[in-house]
Amino acid sequence: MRFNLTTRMAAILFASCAMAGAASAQDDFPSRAVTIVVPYATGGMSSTLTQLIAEKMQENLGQPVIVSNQPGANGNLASGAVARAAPDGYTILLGTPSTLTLNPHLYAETPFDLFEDFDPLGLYAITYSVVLTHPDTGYETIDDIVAAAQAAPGTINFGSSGPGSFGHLAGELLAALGDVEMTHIPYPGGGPALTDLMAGRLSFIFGDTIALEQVEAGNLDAVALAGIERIAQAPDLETVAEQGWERLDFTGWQGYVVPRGTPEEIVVRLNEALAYALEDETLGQRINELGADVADPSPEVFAEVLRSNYDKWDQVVQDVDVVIE
Amino acid sequence: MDILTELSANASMGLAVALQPANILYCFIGVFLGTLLGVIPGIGTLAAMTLLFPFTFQLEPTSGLIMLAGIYYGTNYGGTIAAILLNVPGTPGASVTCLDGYPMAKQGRAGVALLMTAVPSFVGASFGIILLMVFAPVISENALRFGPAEYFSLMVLGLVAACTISSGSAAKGLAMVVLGIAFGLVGSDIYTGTQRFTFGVPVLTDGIELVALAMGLFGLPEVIASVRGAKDVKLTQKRVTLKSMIPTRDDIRRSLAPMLRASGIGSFFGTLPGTGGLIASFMSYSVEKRVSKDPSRFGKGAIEGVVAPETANNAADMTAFIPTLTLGIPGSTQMAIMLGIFIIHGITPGPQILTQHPELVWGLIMSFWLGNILLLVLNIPLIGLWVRMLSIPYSLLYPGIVVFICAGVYSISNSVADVIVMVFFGALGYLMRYLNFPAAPLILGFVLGPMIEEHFRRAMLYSRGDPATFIQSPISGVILAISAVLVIWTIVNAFRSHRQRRALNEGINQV
Repeated sequence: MRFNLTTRMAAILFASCAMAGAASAQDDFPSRAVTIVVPYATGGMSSTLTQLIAEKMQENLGQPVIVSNQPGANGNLASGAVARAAPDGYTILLGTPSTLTLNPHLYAETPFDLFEDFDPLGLYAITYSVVLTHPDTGYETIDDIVAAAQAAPGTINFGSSGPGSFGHLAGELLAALGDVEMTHIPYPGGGPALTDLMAGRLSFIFGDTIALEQVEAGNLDAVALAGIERIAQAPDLETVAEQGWERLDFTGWQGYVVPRGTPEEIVVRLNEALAYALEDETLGQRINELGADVADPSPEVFAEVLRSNYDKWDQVVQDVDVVIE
Repeated sequence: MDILTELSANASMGLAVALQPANILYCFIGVFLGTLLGVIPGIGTLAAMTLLFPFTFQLEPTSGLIMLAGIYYGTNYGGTIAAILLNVPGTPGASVTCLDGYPMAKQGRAGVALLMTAVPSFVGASFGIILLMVFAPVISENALRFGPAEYFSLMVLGLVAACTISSGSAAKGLAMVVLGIAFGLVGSDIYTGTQRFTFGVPVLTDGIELVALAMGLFGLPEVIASVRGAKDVKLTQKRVTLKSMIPTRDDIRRSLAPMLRASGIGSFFGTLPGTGGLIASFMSYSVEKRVSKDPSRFGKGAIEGVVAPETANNAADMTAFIPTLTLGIPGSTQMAIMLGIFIIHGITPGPQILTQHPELVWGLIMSFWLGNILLLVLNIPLIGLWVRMLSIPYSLLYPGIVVFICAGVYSISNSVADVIVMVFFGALGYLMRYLNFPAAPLILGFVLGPMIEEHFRRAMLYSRGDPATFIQSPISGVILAISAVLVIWTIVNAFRSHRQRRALNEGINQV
């Protein structure tokens, strides 16, 4: 399904040849290959979905759409590189709340400015987090976890997929809001943290909805959905808002941005291709299988999400007092 | 009987995956390329894997890993061919095979030697695969008992074993492990995100890329060395006919018991972290020599001396997957690369892998069987081709290899910086080669060092800073005790052999 090496090479070759004489290409955009930069390694959810979207966009645009994985520094490397790329529509960046709206607050230095360097192209998926515990703990609500931390200070451990991750901030925010002591135990990725939760070493984690499989298998308990409204994937699962903890809303998203200054008609054209891709049924199914929902791809919606998320994470980072040097 | 039904269910699930036409093809390509690179002296298993893994990028994870595994065990077969015909081990694991394989070739028995390495290799591998199939699920089911303290202890054992049981100088091995750990520290601290030893270079924030490091240390020095002085090779036999492969009844009789013993020895050393094929073949060779009624035949073309190391080598290659797949702990350097490539494909080996990706795991395991059968069937008629491969001038071969290395490293994260990192390690690797420092312990230190740190700190976080946690857990305590015994044994042994050597006034060269 992926591009093989030769097509990719051919596309790159073609792209570099075309670059020489493409100054006036605005009217017939795209006249060469479009690259989507993914700030993560291959294999993850965003990378897999972008591969599928790229294939569909290629159909619509009539030019190759290449996915380039450029992992590094929690997404900062790729975001910084695209921020400096030419605003001609040929370079697109994949963004998540972490890479675009959280990193600027979390890191002492980020190589881009969200509003100065990027324009929204459109969202493609909304992702969710769930609060998971081991069945033996007997926690049924967020309040139960806080009560347990109050009753026996220094016994609660929560895992995350690394410092500055959603899981880390969510756990710290819960501790701050509940005014209790909890120990953060980071893991290199969500999988190993899930294993230690199943072994009963961790008290809880804020994990991906993909872990709901383990809840169904009886290995884990889901305490709440870390969002405001219930979702179709787990209609019986109470939300943190229902339990009175609306600030623990860790609903995420995945979308694309372009370097700021990209001509509007080009953004419109790319957005058309994105909307076309999202109409595909198999793609929609795949997104649902991964525990996410298809998003409204309009740039206006994304602009609003970026603005509100940026302020939200600013507040969260101040509340939990986490900085990464 | 429950285990048997489960085993056959897993086996048939795996076979269904492995026997998909595409996967058969990739398995074939893997073992073919593996043999090809294995035949070329100096391109060991590691170099072959690092050279060819970029080709697996574009494949589905299952096909990619099947192909890569084929390269991994295919090189051994190729290495043996060079060992027997040239007295040059194509892979380090084949160096023991030289001891008796080359004398056999000189006696005009190269054909028999080649057959009697191919068949026992298959037997050893099969034995290893069966153990893998039985133990992988058992360990996976019990893996939840393995917490940070247990992981820490297991990896300490691995590093201790790598330093003490390795074949060369223990001091040099230790030095390289420590250097590897130092390189492993570069990057973001996984507990705080703080940058360590990155010197403000953005590409180092996620640490040094394992594959760039491995290609630099194993691939480039080989090429540089060949520029300095590639010798033309002298083949003992230009042609190996099928007829010359038929072993005598005596050959077969002598081979049966060593095959069984070596399967056991090889399987054991394969699972032990930090050891692997080379140690396994050394061990089984020395065991055969010890139990033989006439040890003086060894080194002069004894068939047992060819059968035993090859069986052990291949058994170890297979069982090495047990800790790698089920616990995510790479037992050998090759497995460290394999682990890295699993992760590049988005799959994290560990206790969950059997439940999350059963098709992939069982498909991969069953493909080992397919691959070994292919190797057996392929190599007998293709020996002529391999022999001719050995006479390609290096001046044509190696420049092409450099291009592959650079393209491969670049393709990992589309970054030129990784290529620069690779060149740096190429220079270092060449220097190490010049000074006779082994590169394998460096890679093991590089991979295991940060993992040891990670689990040590996690265990200390859980215990709220109490180091007793490492002895309170029975599993962890026992493993640490074994490590301690190993260290003491090595020191005592080194001391004793030093005295012996002085007394004899000559080194003990043989195993």
